[in-house]
Amino acid sequence: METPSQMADLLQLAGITLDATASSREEAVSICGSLLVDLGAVSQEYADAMWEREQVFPSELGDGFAIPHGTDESRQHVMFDQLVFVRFTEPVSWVNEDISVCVGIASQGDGHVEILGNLADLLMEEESAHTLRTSSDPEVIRDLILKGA
Amino acid sequence: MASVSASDVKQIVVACEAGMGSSVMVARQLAKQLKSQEITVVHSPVNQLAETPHQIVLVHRGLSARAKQAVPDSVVIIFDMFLGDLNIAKLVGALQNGDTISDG
Repeated sequence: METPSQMADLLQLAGITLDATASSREEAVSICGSLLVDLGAVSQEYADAMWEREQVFPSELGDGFAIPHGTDESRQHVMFDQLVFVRFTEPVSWVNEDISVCVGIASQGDGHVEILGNLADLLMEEESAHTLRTSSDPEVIRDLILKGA
Repeated sequence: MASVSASDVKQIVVACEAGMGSSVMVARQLAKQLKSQEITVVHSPVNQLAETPHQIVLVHRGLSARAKQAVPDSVVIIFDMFLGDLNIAKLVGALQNGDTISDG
């Protein structure tokens, strides 16, 4: 069981970008990877694996959200579990849909399961999904994802 | 074609490539819907399916061949959408009604 403080560490304000621009899927995934690298959560090898994986198996969820992450093998390049939230000012053309938000994931084990479950709950509810799409306040987005639906 | 009776289902495993993203989200949604059924829902990378105890495997269409290869005797249910998939809704209904569940 995660304590609240450990869970709060999984998504930092510095890991939330609300005005990203990307002209391609590759660039969008690369922005997520670079952010995870900047936070010290992963090495560049992991960021590269995120794009490798994305090409084989797109991470789009539906409703304009995607969750780029690495492969099982690339977990060794994760220093600590971390999520990043990257919203694009213009939707990015993915495989089956246009993506406006990427939640990039780095995880060594199951430390992020609760918070990712929260995200799934939020996306199933119209109002909270709308907040994630439109709120201009990183703290609102962070609190919503940490708290869940 | 593999099949299992709903009353024998104790654990369902949701598989994806890395076991850290989409399978986690699907597992959470399914666990919520099966709360009253005393069925455990776990998630796993597809290459660890054989070592993960289960009566039913749930997997995205793109990985279904690999899943069936990994555990040929298991019931494998295929979904297309990570959130709100119809096949998953059907599975929940079958488990609640006590039906027999087959590959699909």
